[in-house]
Amino acid sequence: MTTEQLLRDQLDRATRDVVGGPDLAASIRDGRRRRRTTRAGVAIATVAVLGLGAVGARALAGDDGHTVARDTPVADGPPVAPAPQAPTDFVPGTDIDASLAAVVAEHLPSLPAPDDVYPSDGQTAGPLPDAEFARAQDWQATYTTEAGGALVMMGSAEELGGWRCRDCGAEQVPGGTLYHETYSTDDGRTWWFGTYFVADDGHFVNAFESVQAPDEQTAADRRQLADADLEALVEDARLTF
Amino acid sequence: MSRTPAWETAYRDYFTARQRSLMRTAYAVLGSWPAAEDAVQTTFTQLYVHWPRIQPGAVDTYARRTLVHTCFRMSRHRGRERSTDRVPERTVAGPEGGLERLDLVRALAGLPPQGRAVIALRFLDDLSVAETARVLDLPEGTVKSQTARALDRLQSALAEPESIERNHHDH
Repeated sequence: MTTEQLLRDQLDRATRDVVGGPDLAASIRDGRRRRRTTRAGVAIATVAVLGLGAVGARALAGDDGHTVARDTPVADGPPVAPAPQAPTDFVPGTDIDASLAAVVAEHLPSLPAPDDVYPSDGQTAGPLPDAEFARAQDWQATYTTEAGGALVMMGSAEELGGWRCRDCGAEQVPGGTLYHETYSTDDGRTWWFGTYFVADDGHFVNAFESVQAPDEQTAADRRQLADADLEALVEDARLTF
Repeated sequence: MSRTPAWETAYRDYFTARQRSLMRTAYAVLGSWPAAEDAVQTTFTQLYVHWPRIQPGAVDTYARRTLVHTCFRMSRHRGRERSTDRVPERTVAGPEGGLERLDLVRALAGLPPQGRAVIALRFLDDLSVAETARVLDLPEGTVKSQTARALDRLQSALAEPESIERNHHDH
């Protein structure tokens, strides 16, 4: 018997008694969530490319000279311009959309008015019909930034159902768990920086910043939003419905 | 009204058919069943995200690529607390099988993650050199040389299990 065949036999025996295994329901639940944010991101990126013209093109071309807006006040830096007044009645018959937009504007004043605020659920990539907002499992607000976009999503405990981010850095904070995650779309051209808060009662708030860049480091350099601001946002107790 | 995508049945079937095999590969690379479970879970989530765009004939390659790169990332993150340095959680039935398993797992732990992946893909998953190169994004020549080097180191380590044990406790 050759060495290679011996190794095959040993490997086979050593790994034959599989202990544990992945959870199909969790894979599908987390996969659906990822698909929804990724598809929302494609829409955001499209808006960015169509709407930002020269500014967006300069950022995408890697112009190092562009100024990165910061939401955290810097002691000797220029004052941050107030956010433009947001049109907030995206969904008639509820003020959840306005509340969500107002809390985001408070924490992230460098963001423009939201492109859209809409109800959604665990199965739907985009908005539910406005008239069905009462059965929303989550609410999402999308924004266009110079480098890509942002998505803030607040969800109910029913949607998330015990989710935990396996590949994320996790930190226990008052009232829940905070996670950070970075990933890219499959073409590697859009990077997502996620900050997630899962409250002890199961409700959650996710904030994503998407950046068009050829690699993670370049994407990180182009970010407009600071992790500290995103953390304060997702932990804001007003983001429930 | 169901909003489940039409392709989800194929995904579920693939999950059922392949999860055990991917667990074994991940275990060979990571040396720990809980870590393997995390890596395979991450892999299947990624697979779900991209499933509609993966060519049916390329699913296995895609899954293995995702898995080994997830294992590499986990190995980097785990750094100091490499569970491959610990005695596995459970031995196989019979004292001889258990001992052999410990020796092999410890011998594998002495290889770098890429070396362990080469061994797992070539000798557990029975992939050819060309297939292994595609999964690892390496030239075929590199796979051949890494295989030879890994085999050599494994042979040496397995020939002297006691010295491995001594070295393990020395650190």
